[in-house]
Amino acid sequence: MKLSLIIRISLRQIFSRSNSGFVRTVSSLSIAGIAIGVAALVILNSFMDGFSGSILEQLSAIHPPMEIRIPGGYAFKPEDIRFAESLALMSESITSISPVLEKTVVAAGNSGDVAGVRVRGVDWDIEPSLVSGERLSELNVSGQGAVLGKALSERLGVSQGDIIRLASTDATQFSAMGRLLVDTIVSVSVSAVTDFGIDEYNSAIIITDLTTASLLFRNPIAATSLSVGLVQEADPVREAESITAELRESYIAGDSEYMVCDAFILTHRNLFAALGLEKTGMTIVLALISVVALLNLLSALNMIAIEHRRDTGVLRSMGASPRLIISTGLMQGGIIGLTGALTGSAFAVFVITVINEFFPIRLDSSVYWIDLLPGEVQPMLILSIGFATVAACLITSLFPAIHAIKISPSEAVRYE
Amino acid sequence: MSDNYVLSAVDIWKSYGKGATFLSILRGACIEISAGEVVSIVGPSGSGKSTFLHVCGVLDPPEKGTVSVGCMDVWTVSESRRAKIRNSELGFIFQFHHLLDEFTMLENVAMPSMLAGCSRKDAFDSAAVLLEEVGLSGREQHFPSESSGGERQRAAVARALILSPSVVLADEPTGNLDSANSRIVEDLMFELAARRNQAFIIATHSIELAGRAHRCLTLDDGILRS
Repeated sequence: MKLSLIIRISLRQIFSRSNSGFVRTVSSLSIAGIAIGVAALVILNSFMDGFSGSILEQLSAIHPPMEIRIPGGYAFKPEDIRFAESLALMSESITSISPVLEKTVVAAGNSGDVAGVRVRGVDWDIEPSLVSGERLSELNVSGQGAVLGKALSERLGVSQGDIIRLASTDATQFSAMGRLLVDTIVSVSVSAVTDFGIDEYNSAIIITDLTTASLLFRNPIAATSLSVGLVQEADPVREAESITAELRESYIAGDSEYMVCDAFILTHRNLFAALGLEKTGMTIVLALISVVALLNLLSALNMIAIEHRRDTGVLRSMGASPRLIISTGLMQGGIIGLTGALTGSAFAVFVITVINEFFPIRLDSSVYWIDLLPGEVQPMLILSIGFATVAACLITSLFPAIHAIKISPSEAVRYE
Repeated sequence: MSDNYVLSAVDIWKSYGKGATFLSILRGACIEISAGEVVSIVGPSGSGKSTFLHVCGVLDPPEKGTVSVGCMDVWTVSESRRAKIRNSELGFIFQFHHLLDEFTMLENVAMPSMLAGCSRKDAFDSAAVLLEEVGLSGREQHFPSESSGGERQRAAVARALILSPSVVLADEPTGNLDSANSRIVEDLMFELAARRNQAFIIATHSIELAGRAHRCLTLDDGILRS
């Protein structure tokens, strides 16, 4: 196959000199249409992935990748922790395990206002190493103390060094009147005020040490859950399934309490499924732009074929095979598709970079969880969209290419 | 068929249309041509001269009859084989030059060589020599739109001859030229035919051109007569 000749003929016909550049204009518009379609798809997917990735990143900075819990919200006994730890650490992917105490309490500060918050007691020596990012370790918290989000500290009117009171209620005391509600009030100093990145966390979560958290439980318990750290390359979903299966076998064998291991990402699957659905819907809508661009390409290639009908006949008379003619038609579609895909991808990368660097998209964090919408340039995504576009262009160009070989060379070269 | 003939067409039938528009163009036309022979075909417009050349040039299949190039019955072989025959054994000169507008004169002349698989350099070298032979040296990089009618037709002659085909089919080669340019193109064809020992079948209205051929045939009522 004379590839260089096919490319040369294709390029000359696409950017034809004849008819005052009309063919060239139509070809350029086809390329522009495909470029816009590709750019729209790349930009949309980059920002949608940036959005979900950013939320995942913020959540992962506080939550470990996996958590072992006892279904029904029951507390762990020390022997349960030891068993789960010995079982989980048999996997090479697991780095360490740390107990967590979580409870919903009422917090009060200096402002006189109170807030219902979730207190999460963690082992400050281990927990920062289990979560991704540096957010917890950067706080440099040790010993007793509480870490608050910005919104909560403002609401309670406290800052670093101030004291907040955490009130917990338990229905654990029995009397002649039945079960009584007993309040437990714990005072703790604010070790740090930070931005958790997510508005809900900034306004409704307090991270403290295990000792302080355990005081909120009237009957001291070892843990409400266990944080599990994973090596970076491990798949948390697969690891969680594997550990759950082993824990189930141990439970059936009577060796342990019934425990399960949850991958953090699956506990938020509703959120990510909703984001995925939204992304799919928008991708379908924007893919219609590409469909319109392909129809435009079909028209352009048909026009090029009609415009060069006589040339096709002349080439046939000079010995061009049907294979060469059809290859030329396909090459024209491929060239327009490739040029459009490259241009569109380059434009999309440019737009994403400019938006990220100079015109960041600010979001209302009380609505969207995060306050900045980042665009993520993903080479694999761009390659996939580009490859699909060129493939679609080749398929589209098949019709005019087949039509071209059906033209009778005798009719095409007849002088009119 | 004698092996001496470079091309022979025997009992060629061809018609167009159906019913009321049915028109029988060729009714058993025959031709046999030897190497170096120049045959002219004359006849009124619509008599089927172009159709006959297209059938002989393997561009249009006959309804009946056989066309042989060398010893090969061209309408019994595959289309890709026919394409090779058109490329290597046949050359076409059309009434309107039919150069490719997007290519330079050099590229146009080199095109059959490139289609045959020759390297770009070899094809261009051969084309440059031929362009010089037809008096177009210095016009290699000009596009057809930048050249006169006579120059374009001379380039078309060069293009038809670049692979030294055994038969050149010329359909009204001087039909669109003024008398001076007609004379130049005619002289060129006869000189090259003699020098390269190539057979020419020339369909023409020009009595003068027809008269210069070795044989002159008249297409009358679908049959070629001497």
